Amino acid sequence: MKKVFHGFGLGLRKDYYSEILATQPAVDWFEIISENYFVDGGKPLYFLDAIREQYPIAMHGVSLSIGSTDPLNKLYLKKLKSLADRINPIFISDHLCWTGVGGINSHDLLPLPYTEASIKHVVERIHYVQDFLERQILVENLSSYVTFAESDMAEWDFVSEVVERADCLLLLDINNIYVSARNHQFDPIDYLKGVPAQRVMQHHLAGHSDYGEYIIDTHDAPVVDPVWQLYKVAAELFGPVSTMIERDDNMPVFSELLAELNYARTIAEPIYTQQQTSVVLPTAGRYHFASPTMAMSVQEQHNG
Amino acid sequence: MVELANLQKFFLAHLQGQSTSIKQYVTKEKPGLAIYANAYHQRLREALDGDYPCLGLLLGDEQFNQLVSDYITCHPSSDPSLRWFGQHLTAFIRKQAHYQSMPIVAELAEWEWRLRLAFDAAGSEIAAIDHVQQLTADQWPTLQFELVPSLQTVSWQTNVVAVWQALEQQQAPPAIIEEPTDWIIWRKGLVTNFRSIHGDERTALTLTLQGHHFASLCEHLCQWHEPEAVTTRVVQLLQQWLSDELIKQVIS
Ligand SMILES: [Fe+2]
Repeated sequence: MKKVFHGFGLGLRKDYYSEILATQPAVDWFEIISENYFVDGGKPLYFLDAIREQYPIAMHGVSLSIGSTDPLNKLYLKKLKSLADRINPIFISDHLCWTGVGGINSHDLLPLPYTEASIKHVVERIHYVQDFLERQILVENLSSYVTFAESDMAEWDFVSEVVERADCLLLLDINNIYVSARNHQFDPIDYLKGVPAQRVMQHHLAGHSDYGEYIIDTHDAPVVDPVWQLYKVAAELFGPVSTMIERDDNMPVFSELLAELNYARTIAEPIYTQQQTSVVLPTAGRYHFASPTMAMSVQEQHNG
Repeated sequence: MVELANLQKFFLAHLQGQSTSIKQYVTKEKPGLAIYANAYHQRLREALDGDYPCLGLLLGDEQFNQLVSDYITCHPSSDPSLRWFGQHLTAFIRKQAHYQSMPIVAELAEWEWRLRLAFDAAGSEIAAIDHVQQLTADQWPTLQFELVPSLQTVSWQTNVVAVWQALEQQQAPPAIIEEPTDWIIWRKGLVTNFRSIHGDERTALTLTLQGHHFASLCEHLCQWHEPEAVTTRVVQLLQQWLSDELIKQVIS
């Protein structure tokens, strides 16, 4: 399996549509919330199409509910596929979670117990989704606030088993690891070392709300220093991984997000350069997904 | 061991404020379960705040919050997108005995929801005025007009639109009065438009949506206009519809 490195991206949020089109910022790709574009027309699709003409797009979903015991929602999968056909995304991802049951959607990312039964359940469903979409998906680790009594393995073992057996890819959210490590008292480095490096295809970085005793993953603030430190370790362990900043609330001016993204570059790029001096790293300029030669292939790494 | 399906049912029911046995299945219930329960309500509340900002202003925090809580309990979300969570609010308000003496509440909710529908309704091609001008006289009687998919027509019993406009601009709303009016809402390009319409235009639009041709529109509008004036009026309406970009295509 080959990992493709697409560089450094940002979440595409409506606050920035016009500015992105007007200023064409040096961002390598944008990530959308897929469900926001399950509409028939108007501004959302207009801006998505216009921005897609100039940037690669990753599709990130919040309602696949891969861990739910409800049947998979076929209509949802059809909408996901038709959106993918429209924009030819670099990734299709969702969360290793369940969002609802009994036909009700909580619109939250709810954790699963870390058990063999959960693994089997989720793996079977990921297989179905990948067959339906005719491509691999990425699943993302959560921030979580409860521990189930019946969990009998570490979260990273659960995540690793799922992605290996489902033959899918991993969207490793570094902030979520930090949040869950603090909430559940584990060492985040154990987590990073515990997942299969060759399946780590994308990173999320985000801010959170720290209440001392616990942290809530709010995506409403800049990335904190301990998360940057973990990101550095991740770069050392995994090599070049497409990385983006998630900001969903308390939206700053766009230049602030760009600065934060450039900070991610300054952390990761020197490490990547050291790892593979023969590989030409993307510079601050954008490159087009449409041209395969522009995307950088990175050989499997087995640092984990 | 608990079946995953049951664990999920208990967990979700807990988020919804029901008493369940979920606590026996988590090792550290605080603050975890409360965080999820708060987030569940907050997220749904925010969706309704975003869809019905002026309804919130009209009712005031206390009444609006009560309405929202009751709605969250009675109509949990079933769609993958929060976009559709608020879709039953108007019908929900109409069923509340409390609001039956205040028709503006349901009308304002419906107005805000319909504007939301126009925002991301399907777009379409637009009939060109040039094309219509080139038609010959013998083509006119059988012309049919397909209207754009974002078009909605609606009738109000109150001055809800004036009230909405004031609230939207953070101004004190006018006194609520009974004032039957008809309106259309549609999207022109990316911009949501609305305007009031007279009874004859309402009829013409309804008939057009049903596939009636030009001659039939003229015939039906005779209930408003003298036979010698009716053709002029229908042509005037069509010109208006063309410049409003309400006509998707003219079928000759
Ligand atoms: Fe994330």
